[in-house]
Amino acid sequence: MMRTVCGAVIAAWIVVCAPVPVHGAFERMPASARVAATGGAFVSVADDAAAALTNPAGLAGLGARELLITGRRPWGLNVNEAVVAAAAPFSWGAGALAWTYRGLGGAYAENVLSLALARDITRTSEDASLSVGIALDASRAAVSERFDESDTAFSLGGGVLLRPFPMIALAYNVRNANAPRIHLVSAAGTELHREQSWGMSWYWNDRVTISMEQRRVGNRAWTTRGGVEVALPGSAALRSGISQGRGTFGIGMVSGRYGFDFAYLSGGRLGSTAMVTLNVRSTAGGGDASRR
Amino acid sequence: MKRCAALLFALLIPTPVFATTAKNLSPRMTVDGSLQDFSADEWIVDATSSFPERPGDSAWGRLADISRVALTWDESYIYVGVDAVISDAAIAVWMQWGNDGLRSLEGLGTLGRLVELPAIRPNLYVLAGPGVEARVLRAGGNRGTGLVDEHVVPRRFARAANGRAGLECAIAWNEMPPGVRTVRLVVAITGPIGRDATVPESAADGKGRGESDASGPVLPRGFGYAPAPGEATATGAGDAVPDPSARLSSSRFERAWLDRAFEVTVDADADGRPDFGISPREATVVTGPPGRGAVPGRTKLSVTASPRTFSPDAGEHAVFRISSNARDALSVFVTITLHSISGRRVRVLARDQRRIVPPGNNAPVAGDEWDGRGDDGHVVDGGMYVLNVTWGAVAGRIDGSARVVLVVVR
Repeated sequence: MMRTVCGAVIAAWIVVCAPVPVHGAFERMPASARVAATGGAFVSVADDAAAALTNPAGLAGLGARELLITGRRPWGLNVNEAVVAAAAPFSWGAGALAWTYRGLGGAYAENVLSLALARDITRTSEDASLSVGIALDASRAAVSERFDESDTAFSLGGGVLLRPFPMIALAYNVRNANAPRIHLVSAAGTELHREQSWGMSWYWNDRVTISMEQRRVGNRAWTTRGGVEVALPGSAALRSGISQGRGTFGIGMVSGRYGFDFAYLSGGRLGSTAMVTLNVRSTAGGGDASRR
Repeated sequence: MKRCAALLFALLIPTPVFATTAKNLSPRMTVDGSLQDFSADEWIVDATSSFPERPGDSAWGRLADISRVALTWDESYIYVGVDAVISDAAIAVWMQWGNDGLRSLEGLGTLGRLVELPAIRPNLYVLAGPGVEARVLRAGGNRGTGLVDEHVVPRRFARAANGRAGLECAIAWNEMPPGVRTVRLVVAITGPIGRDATVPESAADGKGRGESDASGPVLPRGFGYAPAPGEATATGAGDAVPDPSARLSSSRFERAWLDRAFEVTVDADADGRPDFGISPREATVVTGPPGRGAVPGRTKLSVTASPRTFSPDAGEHAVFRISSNARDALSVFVTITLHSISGRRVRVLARDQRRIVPPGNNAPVAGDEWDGRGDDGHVVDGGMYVLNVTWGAVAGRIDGSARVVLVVVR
């Protein structure tokens, strides 16, 4: 038994620390500080506006309109990254609009406009549910230094979120399913790689959430990440995770309709970096920073 | 019969292990000052690691410079070769194998290459120059005699027309305590000695390292830098700008212009015996650059790239250059890598590569470019990438980093 456990731990560690594939254009940044702080393992959590970028199916469980604004300057570089996402429940389900920006001064910029829709297929009173979502991304790259070129590509995505029991969630998401290409100056162009992810979450007493996710970019190897979120009484949450072999940490605070999240990504090859997210909900959050 | 008796008598005489004065100490090494017997990988300072000079860099101008330093060892001796241009200066070689004394050039502080000799505390000290007989001094004030002195060549520098001279010395391992693992070597230029061409006896008989007072050991007098009034400070290589305060030390050999400093691991496996068959260059760790720059936290390197946006499909490369805010050239070990914007490593262009970074904004070094390919040889996807340069005064250490963002356009 002990040998099995040790083997499983070692195997999990190897998987978590495995090198990840490299791609450049439109490499996804974490949709929010909450996502980043839990190691990016959010596909099966997906319970706020960040779901528009991680798993649109999660929008179906949204209880209120929500606006989320995230920003960071990775590694202290002169690169700005921002995510603005607005989500709202409707009678037939939920929808969200998200804008992702990454720019290098006036030289180069990547913009992605995402439209996501979600709907519950089944939902029972015991909080068991199955929801699905679709996403349409318009990705535009523009280079204005030395070259004056831009191109836009459209891609489709979708996700499924299953909660067979209140304490467990399973999810799958695919983005850039049609793997389009952006051509700026060469015929080869750059492929927007298909991104697949699946994950599981465990909920304990609505206070602790443990999530695990595997992600695959293009036809490269699956990589694993994981995170934990502990909601503290008094409108706060502590988060931690591991992603790409390095630790992530964060806090979340809620005051009425407003929330603030901070994430710290430690010790990568380029050092550490941080990001912040501000969010606003249309109704009071009920004092729980972890389950908005 | 007489011959046989003489031969027998000769054989019976106990031969001191290191009592030979023969200059062929090993089948390969000949201590003759010619430096021809050092192999290429034993030149731990050579043209590839020489420090570019700048105007006003030397007290002695082009007439005094240490161009190359070689180091090797065998079962009996450690050999040091110094290729220099010498006129009115002298070459000083300090060796340390104790744990005290100079540990890093960082400790030299604001004086940069102006070395305060009490900080060095050498175990063995070799001095040679034009017009002065080579001397070896040991810690404690004992003048080195016999073996060691015999194996310092040339005994007296000739004033060659071009000032070129080679100093070669062999130091027996039994000069050192057993189990020496690391030898620190400091090569410096000192002088002028033309007007004071002998090592005073006070140096040999005076207080040494073991008898130092509060101000440090008393070192030989008469070798401080004392330029003549109006002496031109022409360009030179390897020496530092003379400090006016050095004139005050003309009566005491308490300062010298540091040229090179090394720390060489000679017993990497810690078995108490020197390791043989390894390249000294491989085993050498430069304790720091001969400048005031390589002080973590104060020295900053910066990296710029041109063009910042480039198309590898059109055969374009991004050329980058590394600049320094230090006043002197830096000898540093740099690692140059490329990462995607999320921090994933794409390519390693250099790993712990020794570089001489001249002060100021520098021209690109040949090979400092990125062709837009990853380690797998394929052109990377379009997008933003981070060129990350980390540097350290010693290999494997990171004292600072500099970054620039490049855009691959496809």
